Amino acid sequence: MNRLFAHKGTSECTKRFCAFVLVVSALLLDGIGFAQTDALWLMQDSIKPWASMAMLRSDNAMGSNSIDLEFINESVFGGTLEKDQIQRQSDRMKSVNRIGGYSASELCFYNFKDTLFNRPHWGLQAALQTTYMASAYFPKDLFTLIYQGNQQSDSLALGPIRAQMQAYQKFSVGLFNKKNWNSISIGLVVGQRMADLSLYSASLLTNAWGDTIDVAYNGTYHRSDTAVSGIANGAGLGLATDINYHLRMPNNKGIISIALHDIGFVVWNKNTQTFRLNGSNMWTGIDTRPYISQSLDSIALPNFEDSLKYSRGKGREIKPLPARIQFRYLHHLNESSYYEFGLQIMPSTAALPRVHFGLGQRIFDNFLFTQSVSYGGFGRWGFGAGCYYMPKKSWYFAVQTFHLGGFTLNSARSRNIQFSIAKIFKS
Amino acid sequence: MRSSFYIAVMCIAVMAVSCRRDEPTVWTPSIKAAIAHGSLGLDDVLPSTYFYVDNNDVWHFYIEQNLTDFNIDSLVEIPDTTIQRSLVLPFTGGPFNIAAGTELYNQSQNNVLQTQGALLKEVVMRGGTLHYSFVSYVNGELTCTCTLPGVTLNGSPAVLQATTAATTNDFSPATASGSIDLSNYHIDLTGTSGTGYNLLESLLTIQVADNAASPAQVYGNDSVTIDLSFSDATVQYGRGYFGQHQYTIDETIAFGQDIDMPDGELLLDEATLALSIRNYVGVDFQLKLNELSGIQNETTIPLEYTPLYDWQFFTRAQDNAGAITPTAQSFFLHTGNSNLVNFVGLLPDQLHIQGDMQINTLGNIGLNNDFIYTDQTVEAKAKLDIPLQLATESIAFTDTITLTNAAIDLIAKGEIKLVLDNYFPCDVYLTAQLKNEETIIDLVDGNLLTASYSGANTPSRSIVPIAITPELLALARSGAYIILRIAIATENYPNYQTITAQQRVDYLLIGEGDVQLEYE
Repeated sequence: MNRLFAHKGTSECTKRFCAFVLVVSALLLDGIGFAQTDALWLMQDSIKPWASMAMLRSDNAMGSNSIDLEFINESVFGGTLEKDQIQRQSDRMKSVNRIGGYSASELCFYNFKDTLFNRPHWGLQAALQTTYMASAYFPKDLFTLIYQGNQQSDSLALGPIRAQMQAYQKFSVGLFNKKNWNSISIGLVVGQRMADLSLYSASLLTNAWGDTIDVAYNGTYHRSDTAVSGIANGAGLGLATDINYHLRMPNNKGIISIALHDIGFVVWNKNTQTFRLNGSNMWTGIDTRPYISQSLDSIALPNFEDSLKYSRGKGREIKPLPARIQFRYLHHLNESSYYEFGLQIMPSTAALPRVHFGLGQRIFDNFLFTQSVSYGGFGRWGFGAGCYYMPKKSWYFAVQTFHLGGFTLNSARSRNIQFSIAKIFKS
Repeated sequence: MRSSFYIAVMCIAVMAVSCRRDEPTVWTPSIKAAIAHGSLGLDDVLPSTYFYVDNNDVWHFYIEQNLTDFNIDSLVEIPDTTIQRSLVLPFTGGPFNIAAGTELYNQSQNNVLQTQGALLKEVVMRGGTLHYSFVSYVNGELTCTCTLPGVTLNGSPAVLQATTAATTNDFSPATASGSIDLSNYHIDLTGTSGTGYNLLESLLTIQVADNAASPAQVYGNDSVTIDLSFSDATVQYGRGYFGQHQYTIDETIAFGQDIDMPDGELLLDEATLALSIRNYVGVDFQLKLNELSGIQNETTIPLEYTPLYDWQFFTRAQDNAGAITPTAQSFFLHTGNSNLVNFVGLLPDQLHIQGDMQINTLGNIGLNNDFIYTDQTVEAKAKLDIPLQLATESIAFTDTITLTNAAIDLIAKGEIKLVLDNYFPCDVYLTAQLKNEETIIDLVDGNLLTASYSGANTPSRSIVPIAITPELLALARSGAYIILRIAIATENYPNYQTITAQQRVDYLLIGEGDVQLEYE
């Protein structure tokens, strides 16, 4: 057993600090994400003498390369977006901008008692997971139109735009290695909701007088069955697999880890709608002649959706899940500290590969503190920290973020948090 | 370890709460967009049914108005009236026991129907009710039947029948009653002889009821009474001699009630008025108008046209099995024979007609064959046609547009530009007010739109700024309405200008300002 957990006592001071970190992190939490196997577990190179373990873990992230968190918070959770606040976002924007977020929570059960196929190192695991993910990349002019209006420019290029959203639940079963935490599982995915907009080109032209506005657009939009709602509603069905592989270097100098999460797909059902948008509209105001001549007596604004020119179809759609591919190299510096390099790739046009460098240090025997610097994902640079605490060997708490600034600075453009709570049952 | 568990639970609870949406997201982009557009021609201000464009593309104002129907259908009016008939059974002494089914009385008789002086041979009823009641003083169940051979519906005579009960020991009579709807009944009023007038033949039959429980006990002088009452009777056709009558006509008629008549004064280049009086009634009459004048507010202008004020003689119309050939007198008034352009130029909203009418001045020369179909009697119709070649210093049209709350449910500040392109060869003064029952806000206060060059396609453009204020939006949301008033003054007054179909005012409302958007 690793010495990090060798100390049996836990000071009151440490408890309070951990509670403070957890509560403050939770208060500031805005999204959830996906975690690699915690370093603490990997550093234990032995079979645990436990009967089972139940773990609740959650991974949340949100970020943008141009829009700050204060703006995102007020957009998502309500508030007033002031003009200077909007202008600051606009000034930061590039021709193409990214924004995204995800929230994944998982309840996982590990059975340490079983001996599978005469292999005592392997046990059974089962998990229930729910995931919400949304991302988009968009041109600056789209932001300008929505938040600043069309007075800024007579000609606005609104494309290309790619915006995706998926919500799904997954039930998975698999095997895990009790010693090194290698694992493989396969899961049944139930699609809850999906929307996917691809606007290849779009423009809005306002003539000098403002008496004519021309809108042109070309793209496609898919959305899942709108007749059903709620968790696990059957709008889609699919399969996914998760793999964690850890390779220990000779002399226990380090560990190379590869993790593949949510590698799979969802077949969205036959009521999935497809809209092919291709056309243009001209707005010249409400024609009031019928009201003047009194053939109509109440003015009604035209419905925007009715004004769009599109063809519509229904049928099954196969969409890949928002997978995550992670690499990590962890190198022990001494008995109480290590450093690591990591890379996470999300195959999304709105997210860059995220690279990070981190340091881990034991402060108490059962308490690990980490620091990290990262770049990429939905946002940009981030400085992070993590705490791992295992009191009395029957509970386990962990919390980590790559973006501490996301919890302290309004101008930060990313925020993420990962946490785990586990209850260990002994035989 | 229990404290660790509580911390975990608290974390999850706090996370759930921290993700709630507490208020809407609000921001104010700067929008520039057209709000509304349209075009205002004369056919928009006034109902298009009153306008047409001639071959020279010139607008004409045209109106056809029924001036009066002279109320001549009162000639054959049947007032509410009751015919009472009492009969005494032909017995002396008694009592006599009369078996069931035995007839006691059977006699035909003429009954006089009251009229307003007309001697009617026949009528066809439009409506009304004939009530009947039998009163019996006989101690026995009687079946009383009154057949009216001259009152027929689809050839079948009206049969009024009722059964009266036996009188009681206190000698109170027994009564039975009923009614029939007179609609579409034909009533022959020539009586039993077939040559009389205002006479309604009836055949009264009294018998002991077939299913009477016991024989009727009849005394001499026992009687039965029948009442026939006409109420609310209206006639659709009548024939006979309607008598000699003299009427005085004195009517004020609201003119063009479904038009928002413009106010102001016009100089018209020309106008025509075709006035025709048609007689669809089978009587001779003569008519003399003493006054036909137009009224607007306190001003009255009599129509000057001498032939109109002479006695006009109308011979009777001809009835060929329901196809009426009317007789008529027509008058055609124009600029050369009357003061019509001045009369119309006043833009009257009322007409006053005063005159005398005499019917059948020569007596019964139709030999009791006067007739009337009350749907169409004597008509006086005016057809006014005005080519819009006019001169005016100020003629004003008013229109009202009601706003719905849904159209203006927003918070904004900025300005609305009202862009007006005037294609009329006239100066146009525009006034627009937004108002409800309590508040008025002037949107446009009599702004001048200068005249377009006559014959040119290039309009004169005016731009009127309207400030968007919270008060304006609040009033608009309150279910207010916009009152547009357009006053026109022709160029080089009093020279005439021709108004064509292409002439109009195009308007465009462009909003430019900060609009508050929000989503929940």
